[in-house]
Amino acid sequence: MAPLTTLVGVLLACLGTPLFVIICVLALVSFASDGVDLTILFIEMYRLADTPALTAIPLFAFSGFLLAESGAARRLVRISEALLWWLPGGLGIMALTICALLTAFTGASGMTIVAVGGLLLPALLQAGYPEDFSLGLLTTSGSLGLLFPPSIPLIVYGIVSATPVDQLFIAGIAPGVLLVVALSAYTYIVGGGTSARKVREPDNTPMQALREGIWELLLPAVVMTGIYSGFIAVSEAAALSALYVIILEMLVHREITLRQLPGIIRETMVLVGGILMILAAAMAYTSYLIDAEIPASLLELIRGQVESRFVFLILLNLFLLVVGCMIDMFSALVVVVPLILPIAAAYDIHPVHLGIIFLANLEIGYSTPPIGLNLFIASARFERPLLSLYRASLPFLAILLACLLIITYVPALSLFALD
Amino acid sequence: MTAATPDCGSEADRRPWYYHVEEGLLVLLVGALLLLAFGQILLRNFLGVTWVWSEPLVRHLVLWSSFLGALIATRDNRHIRIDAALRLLQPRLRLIATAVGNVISATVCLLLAPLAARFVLDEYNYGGSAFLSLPRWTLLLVFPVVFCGMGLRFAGHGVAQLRNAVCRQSPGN
Repeated sequence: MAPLTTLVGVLLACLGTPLFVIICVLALVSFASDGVDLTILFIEMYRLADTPALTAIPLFAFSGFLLAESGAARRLVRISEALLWWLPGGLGIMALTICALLTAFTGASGMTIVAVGGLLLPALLQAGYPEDFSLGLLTTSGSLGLLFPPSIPLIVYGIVSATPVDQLFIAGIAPGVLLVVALSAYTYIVGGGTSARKVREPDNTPMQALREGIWELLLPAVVMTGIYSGFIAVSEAAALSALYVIILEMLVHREITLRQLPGIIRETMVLVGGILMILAAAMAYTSYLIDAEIPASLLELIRGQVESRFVFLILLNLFLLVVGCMIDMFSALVVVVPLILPIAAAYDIHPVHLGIIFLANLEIGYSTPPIGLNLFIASARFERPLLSLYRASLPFLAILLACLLIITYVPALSLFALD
Repeated sequence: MTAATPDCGSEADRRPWYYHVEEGLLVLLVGALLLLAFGQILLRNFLGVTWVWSEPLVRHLVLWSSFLGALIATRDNRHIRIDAALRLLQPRLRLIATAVGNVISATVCLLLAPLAARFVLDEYNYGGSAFLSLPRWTLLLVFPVVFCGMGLRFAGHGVAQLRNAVCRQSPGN
């Protein structure tokens, strides 16, 4: 039964059927074959309304869309230009950092490439960075930052795995920084070795740039201190950041008018609606999988084959990389996490560490040829053939994979800040 | 997509009234969500007041607005899907494959809608009340409504794409 339904699912996916529909089909067929009353699907979906972290998703997404719509990216570019222009590879490093910060807020919706790619690609090329390098950098940056709070995939992992979201937010920082630093080091080397010019607009002084953009720069700090200090819950931090961004972009910078708000709300909720549908369908399917003790039998199977934790982690990474480049992050999380969670526990892997491994893999899978989503978005956005983007992203992928090994085999990197 | 394409019709020149209702309702729900979420924090931290009903209400607002968002995503054809395999096909074949996918989605959603209705009915007959002594079944109405709406929309897309495939014209996004 299970192989057949999986086959049907894959077939439907190839027809471009929305993933929530596919998960619903899997749940329907599975429950029906067990003779369970099918209203169970909706009973399980309705469990979403009891999920505390749920509220954080639309609120953080709304903040992200507001930021993307405003001049925040331009201001951040100016700040980093004013501060880093003298550094070899400075422009590239700033591009990485800005993409990471924005992606943390906008999630893996490809919005980073769309919103800042157009701004940064000409800047990089003009400053003399090689084209392949610039394209690869922006393509891989499209999902860089997913380990940073308040990334929505992290929240979804928290919901699906019943892991506290605030712990995930804390655990993601060091591994996320590792990825950014590693890519920055590469950028530093390339930036120093090529004809990349060091440029700064003469009127862009550090003081001036900071005065314009300091409030956006402080936003991650505001979110994090709220959560770290334990004063507010994740959903409250999300509400505060939405309020902060509304005040900043509508009253201080006056770049978003009241008229634009309905459009931004619509865009936000189309994305969030898509995510929540998948999450709702997954609530139903997962409860079937657990009732049918599928994770347990899967564990039996794997335990029989794989002895060591070391080998298990390698296999896990390979599996997740493939998953990451084949299906979108949210479906991957909601379907795979419930299956893997008990297995990983048997190999003594901390659920928070597992979450970071998951996200790091999916993040890299997003830029992995042949069908990583970032490559398609970048190909459309920059009007370059897909093949040239494959080539361009390879060196970046190699570095990210090296980091992935560190993240996987050094659990302390993720866990040291927890208790 | 401002230029209207005369032959196979375009979305822009005919926006039915319920589009505005959907979007207006969405803005209202999200607005209420934002206000309530801010208000909760202010009340709790400055006045030390907590309304028991506000937290469940906030979560239901999230549920409703997200499902409404999903309904609009169906209208826009913007649900999360894997289109890697489709990209390999010729435009016309791709259109036909997408149409088949949409017809299947329509079937699934329209199968689920009556199930959702029965879920609401069960709750109406045997269920209790939720926050603010609202009968719980009223909170669940969003399920049948949205699944029914999505089903009709998927069906509409499927039919339109098949017609387009005959017209040899690729759809806009």
